[in-house]
Amino acid sequence: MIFESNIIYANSATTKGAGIYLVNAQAALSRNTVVANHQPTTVSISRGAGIYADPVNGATAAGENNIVYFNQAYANSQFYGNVGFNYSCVATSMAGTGNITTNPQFVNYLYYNYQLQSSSPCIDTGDPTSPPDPDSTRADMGAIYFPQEYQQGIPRPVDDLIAIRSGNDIHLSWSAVTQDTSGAPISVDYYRIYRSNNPWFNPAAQYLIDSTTATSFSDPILDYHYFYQVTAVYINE
Amino acid sequence: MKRLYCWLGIIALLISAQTWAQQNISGSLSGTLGPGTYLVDGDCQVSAGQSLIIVPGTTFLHTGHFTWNIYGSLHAVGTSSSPIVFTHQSPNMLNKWAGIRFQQGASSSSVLIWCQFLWSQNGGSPYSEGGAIYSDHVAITIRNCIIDYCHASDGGGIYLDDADNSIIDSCTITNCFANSGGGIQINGSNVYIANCAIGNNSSTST
Repeated sequence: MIFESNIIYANSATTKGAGIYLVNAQAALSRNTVVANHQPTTVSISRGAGIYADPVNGATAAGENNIVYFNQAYANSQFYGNVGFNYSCVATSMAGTGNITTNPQFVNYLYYNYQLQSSSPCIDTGDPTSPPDPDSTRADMGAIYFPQEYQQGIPRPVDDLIAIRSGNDIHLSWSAVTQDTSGAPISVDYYRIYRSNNPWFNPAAQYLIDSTTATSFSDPILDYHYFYQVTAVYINE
Repeated sequence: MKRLYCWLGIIALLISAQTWAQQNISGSLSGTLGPGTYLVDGDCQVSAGQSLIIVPGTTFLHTGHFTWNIYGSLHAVGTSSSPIVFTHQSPNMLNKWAGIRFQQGASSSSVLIWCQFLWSQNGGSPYSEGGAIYSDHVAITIRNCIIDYCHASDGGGIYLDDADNSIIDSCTITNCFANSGGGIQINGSNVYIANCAIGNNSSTST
């Protein structure tokens, strides 16, 4: 069984494996973000809210480049059973090579934004033998890599987008982009707002719904699911 | 005022046309369905050796707790802008349809791409596993699909039972619940799950 580049978040269970519960299975996990899954913290048998590999029947989970963080249970909140990763970020110490326990610095995990901030310790600290990220740098940990295509005149990504339901609207807000990807100051002209029902969409023309010079936007609710991206535009004339 | 009456007339015609466009379906299906909206008023099935192709922009509104049993091949391939939607006619926590079931012996070439499975449930008679999708020993491919607000006794969104070589890719599985396996439950299957967002699902007995 293979889990690759998934975001497994905010699931709940009563005692075991709110995120991933493995019974009599051998799972290979790479580049997953397993975050904020939760179980009761007052029930003594509540364990492994992130990943539970049932030790009774030989279940195992192994792999690399994963983030397992902010999961909550009575004990062994992040993982329980035979779980062993390398080059991963796990909130509690895990034997293996290249593992870290430091906060992965998601943009805003309380609002389901599991992108990495530019200061995240998960950037370029994945398995050096793994295929590089799309920006040709060493693999990051987690499902969403941090793009590092540094170029002058290209605005930095909008990396703190928050979406909140407000009545019949989705209210988006973000911080102003003030630097280009090389770190030089920049004054962007406007922002483009993209929307899709696919969480992995690329911000292409068919998904563009509006533009604004502000750092907020309201979108009427039309369907069950929306995924948004906002990009900054700088017209260098 | 005359203009208002004119608009009301046009709206009435549009509603009439919409009603006309909806066809009722149930029973044995094959060939090609869609685009358009169908009212599903009974169980549906694709028989062994038969193939059903569903085209982009097709919506199935189930009027009751009806199941799709697949013994042959199902190709439901939508697009990002024209997905294929399976839902209840009046969806809420009480009104749900009963999911799609790939039964043992069905074709492993079945694919579900850019589909949405909303408000389905199984949790007792006649089925208990797989709120939206169940596979019994059939390798299926599920890509770019949304599964939302589904529930079952086991596997609120998806239940794969010895469905080796199945693929779940770029899917969103949210707000589902079950006794075990709130989002996905996999029993003895060697499957590949990638690029999915699996969140806000709940299990009530594990």
